[in-house]
Amino acid sequence: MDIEKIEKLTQDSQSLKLLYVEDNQQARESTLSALDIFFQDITIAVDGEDGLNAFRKGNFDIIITDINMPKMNGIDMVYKIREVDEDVTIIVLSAYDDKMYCDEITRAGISGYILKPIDLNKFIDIMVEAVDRILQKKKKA
Amino acid sequence: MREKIKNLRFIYIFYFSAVLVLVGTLTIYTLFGETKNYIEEVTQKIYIQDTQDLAYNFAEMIANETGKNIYINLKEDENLREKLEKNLQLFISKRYRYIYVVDKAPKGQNYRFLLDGSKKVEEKSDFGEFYEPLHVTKFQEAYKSAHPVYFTQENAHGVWITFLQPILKDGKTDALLVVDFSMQGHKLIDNSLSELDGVLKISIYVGIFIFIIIVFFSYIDHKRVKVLESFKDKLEMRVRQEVEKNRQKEQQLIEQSRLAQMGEMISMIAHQWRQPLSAISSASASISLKAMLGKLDNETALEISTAISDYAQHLSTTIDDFRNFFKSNKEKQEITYTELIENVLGIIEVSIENKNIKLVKHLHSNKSFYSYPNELKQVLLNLIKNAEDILLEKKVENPTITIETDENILRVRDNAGGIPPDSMHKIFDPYFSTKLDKNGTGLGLYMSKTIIEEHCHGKLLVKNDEEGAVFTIVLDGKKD
Amino acid sequence: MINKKLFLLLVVFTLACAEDNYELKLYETVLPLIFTKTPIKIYTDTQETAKIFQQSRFFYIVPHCDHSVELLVGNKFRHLSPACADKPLFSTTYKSFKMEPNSFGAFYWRKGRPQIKFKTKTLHRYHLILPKTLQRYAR
Repeated sequence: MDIEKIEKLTQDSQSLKLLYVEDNQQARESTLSALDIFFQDITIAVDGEDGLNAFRKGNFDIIITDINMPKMNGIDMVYKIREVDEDVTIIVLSAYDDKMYCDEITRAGISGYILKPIDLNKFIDIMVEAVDRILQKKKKA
Repeated sequence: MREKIKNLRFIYIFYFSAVLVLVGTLTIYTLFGETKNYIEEVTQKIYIQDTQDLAYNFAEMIANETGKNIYINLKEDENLREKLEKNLQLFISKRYRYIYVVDKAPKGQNYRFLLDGSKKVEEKSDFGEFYEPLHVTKFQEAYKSAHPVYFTQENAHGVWITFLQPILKDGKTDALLVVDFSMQGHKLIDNSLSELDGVLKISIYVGIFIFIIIVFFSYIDHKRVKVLESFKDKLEMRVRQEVEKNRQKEQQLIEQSRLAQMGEMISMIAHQWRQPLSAISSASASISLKAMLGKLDNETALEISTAISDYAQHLSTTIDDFRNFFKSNKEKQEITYTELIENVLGIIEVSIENKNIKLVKHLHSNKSFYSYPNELKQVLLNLIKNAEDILLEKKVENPTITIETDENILRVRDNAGGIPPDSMHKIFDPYFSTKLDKNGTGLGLYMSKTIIEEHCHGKLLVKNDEEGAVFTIVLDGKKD
Repeated sequence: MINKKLFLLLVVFTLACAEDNYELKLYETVLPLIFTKTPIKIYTDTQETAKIFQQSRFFYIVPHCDHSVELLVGNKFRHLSPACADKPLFSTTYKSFKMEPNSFGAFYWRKGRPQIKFKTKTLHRYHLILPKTLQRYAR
């Protein structure tokens, strides 16, 4: 574990706006305690519908979402978001390792798929990549 | 066994009577034979007596009619010869074949014909014709002893008796009267006797034949009985084998059902565990990160580790719940419906909610009763799982499972539209499944019904209401 | 003793078989003793007699009589050729034996018993010699 890498990530990600969508309270609480190291501005949604509404209202840089949620699941939410915004970085954080889901959601256009329980290294790598990409785009704009 | 004895007795009676008939016939035949012989003996004696009288009379007549020397008398007197021969002729018949008179020639051993009763020309001897009898000694004996002599002879024509009657002059034999008569029995007696003889012979043969047939058939019967018995034994063995196979099949069925349930359970456990596990990993990740960045303070560390401990506890409880679920109750325990439902939901609630199915509870029963808790939990789980499966399969909008209790009744409803009428009466049958995928073992409702009705002495009923299927459990709740 | 021998022979024959065979046996016993050369050429007057003789290799039956025939056997011969008119005759009936001048001997049944007879004079005429065993039947 490269502490420097993590430190750099922490710095880079501070200013970004995160939309975190997760229906299970336990998962939300425990993941948040890891996410709030990197992001200051975290908006929470408790299901797909809630997440879509929140996205429309706000201007987010990155979305981290679960798949299995009531009302609207993660896949549908991603599709709907993509209808309006092709660019926004979306990372999936899910317990499902079903290949079908994986393919489908990849087609929808996501930056990364992290399996629960979280492998810290993978998480860091994906995050680094995503954050770098976001900052790059911001520089260009 | 009784049949065997009956059969045996019957066979023995049969044998016995056949033997009896045979022995009887043989006895009769022997008796008949003896009687026949006796008849023949007596007949013979009668004939001989008759012939003796006849011959004696003839001899006397001839003696009276002739002078001292019969030969000379008859030689000279042709008329006398004729007269006497006519008398002899009277008695010639089938029985008295030959009647003639001979005397000894003075020279040599020859005999001469003096009188001949034969009617046929070619048979009739000339007077003085020499004659050589076959049984010369007998002739000589009669001549010498001056007493009648008779003997039997047998030739192609049957049995004959030759009777020799000496004709005496002054106490000495001057001539010999010979009568050959047939010993063939009187025609009528003969015929009857031979008829009877024939009949008896036939009945003996028939008796023997019947006896042989009886032996043959009883042998076949014996074999048949043996074949039947061995067949019966084989059949019994087959039946036993089949019963054993069926029992094993049922065992397999029960095993399969348990395994299927266990499989479902395990996937439920996995499901239940995923969240706490990922929560633990997230918590540990956050501790690592905070520590790496030097932002970990004691308060946060304590907070997070407490959370981890809670999550771990949750995992443990889940395991215990599942473990207990599978223990079979040996004795009835006091429970309430509410307890059962809470217990089961503790296992399955997460899964249901994950699938966006609404769970409605109307628990109106606080009554405690005696039954087998784990078995009931399994049934309840099965019913709820079935409802969940059908709601998902039919992709029902606003899927809802309703659980109601009232006194000693528990109902599980779904709003999946109901069970199709043609499946209704088969729904509790083993191996009957409406699930489209191959994972439906079809054993759940069958086992549930068996458990409720046979083990818990209750009832498991099904009907459709306007929204979907309704499964009802009714228990008597008695202590034993 | 000789008596007994022939007597026994005849008894045996009686006990033996049917009359036909009996007769043949008798002819076979008696005739070859007189006519020593075998087979003896014989002419008979009846089919029955011919049939009996045909069965034996001692005798040779001819359909027509000629001078080579040695012996006639039968009852009464009606149409005899001159060559055979004077042949020796062995009669099969007592009548023939008594009446026929050629008859030197006979074999017939009397009262169910077989009878053999020979005429000594006629035997002499034909130069036929009886063996000792048969001499008792000659007169």
